[in-house]
Amino acid sequence: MSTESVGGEADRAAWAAGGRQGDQVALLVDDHLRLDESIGEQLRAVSHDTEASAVALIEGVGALSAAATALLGLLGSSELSAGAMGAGADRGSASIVEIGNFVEELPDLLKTSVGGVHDAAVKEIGGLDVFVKVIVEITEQTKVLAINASIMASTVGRAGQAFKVIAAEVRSLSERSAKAATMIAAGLEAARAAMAEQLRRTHVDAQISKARRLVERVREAQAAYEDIRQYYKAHFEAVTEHNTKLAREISEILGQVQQQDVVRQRLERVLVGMSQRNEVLRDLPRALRDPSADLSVLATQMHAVLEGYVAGEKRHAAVPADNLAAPSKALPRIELF
Amino acid sequence: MPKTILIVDDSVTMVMSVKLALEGAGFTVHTAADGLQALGQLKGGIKPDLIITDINMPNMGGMELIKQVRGLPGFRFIPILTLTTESQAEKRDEAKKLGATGWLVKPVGGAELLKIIKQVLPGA
Repeated sequence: MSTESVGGEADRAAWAAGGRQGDQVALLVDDHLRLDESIGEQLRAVSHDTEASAVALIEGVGALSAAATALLGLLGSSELSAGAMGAGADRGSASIVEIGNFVEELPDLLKTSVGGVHDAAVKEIGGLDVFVKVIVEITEQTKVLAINASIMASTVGRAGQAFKVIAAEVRSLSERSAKAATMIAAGLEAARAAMAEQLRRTHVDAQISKARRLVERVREAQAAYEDIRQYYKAHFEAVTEHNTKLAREISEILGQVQQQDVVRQRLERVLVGMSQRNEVLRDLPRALRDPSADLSVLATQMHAVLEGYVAGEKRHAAVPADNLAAPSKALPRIELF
Repeated sequence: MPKTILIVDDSVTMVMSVKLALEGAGFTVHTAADGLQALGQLKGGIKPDLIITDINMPNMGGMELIKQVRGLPGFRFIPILTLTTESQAEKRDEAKKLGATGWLVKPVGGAELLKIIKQVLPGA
């Protein structure tokens, strides 16, 4: 195909004023081609601009995706750390409870032990009373022996003088034994009283109450810790869910961005169709000036351009994005062989 | 080890968007702007687990790429998905005959694409 160029503004004015039919058609076609050139430039600019926008959008979405991925990674790491800390806290908490239980039981144990020691001591002291009684009995018998010896000494006269001294010594021994028995009995009684007083001063009941309050505080602290952990866990799950949803939405946005490529290809087909049509139109003025020219050739060429364009558009028939399998004659959007 | 996917498309937006979606799902992604470039990468030693290719591209289109890939040693059974705006049965049948594994018409959402990939790449 050849092209017909139109001259300057003077030629255009002359042809428009009274030129031949071919000249006027040449003007018409020239303006048409220039208009198409301008439209074509705009369409290419649209394609370029939408591509630039789509690229910027993908980059933005990419940054968002990276941030979401990083956040999920951070949360995953936090979950591991929290798990480790929670296990440590659980062990610590269990230890505290164990100590609390021990403290709670300790006063009772002490009370039992101290009471046992007291009872044992009292029993032992009570056992010593027997010895005191034995000493008292020996004292009584010694006393009787001293009296008898004294009587015997007086009946034997002078010969009994030495025996009388012995009787006096025996009496003295008896009196000292009696005093010793009294002192031992008094000492044992004092020991019993001192032990009872010491037991009374240990305030075991008050300590039990204090220990119970301590255990109660430990259990309250454990319950508060459990509440905090549940609260944290619930928030962690919510954030993870939102991030997963965000990642899914980002993925879908990226799918929608593909529409830019669909539009770009459609525009390219339009531009190719326009270019082919204009190639035919460029020959029209020359053919009109030439009486021997066969205009049907151009008509055939133009029809071929039309059919080519329509066929191309049919091959790229738009399919709704939400139809996995389009009805009727259209092919399914997705097909595995 | 992450699976490797080769994306072949002359559209910058297609390559970027599919690459981002697949990388986000844990795949390693290589890209090529046309069939010729993709073939060069495969001959150069890249061994993807899956190839996703457009059909209409400059220099070498998707149909010729499928034909050439199936002729390369070690690439006979690697799955190849077409991702195109073409929606005619003749083109689809031609791709199938040449050895394509599946036919996807643009646009395909990220979740949808991942679902298909899991079907053709068990364990992915």
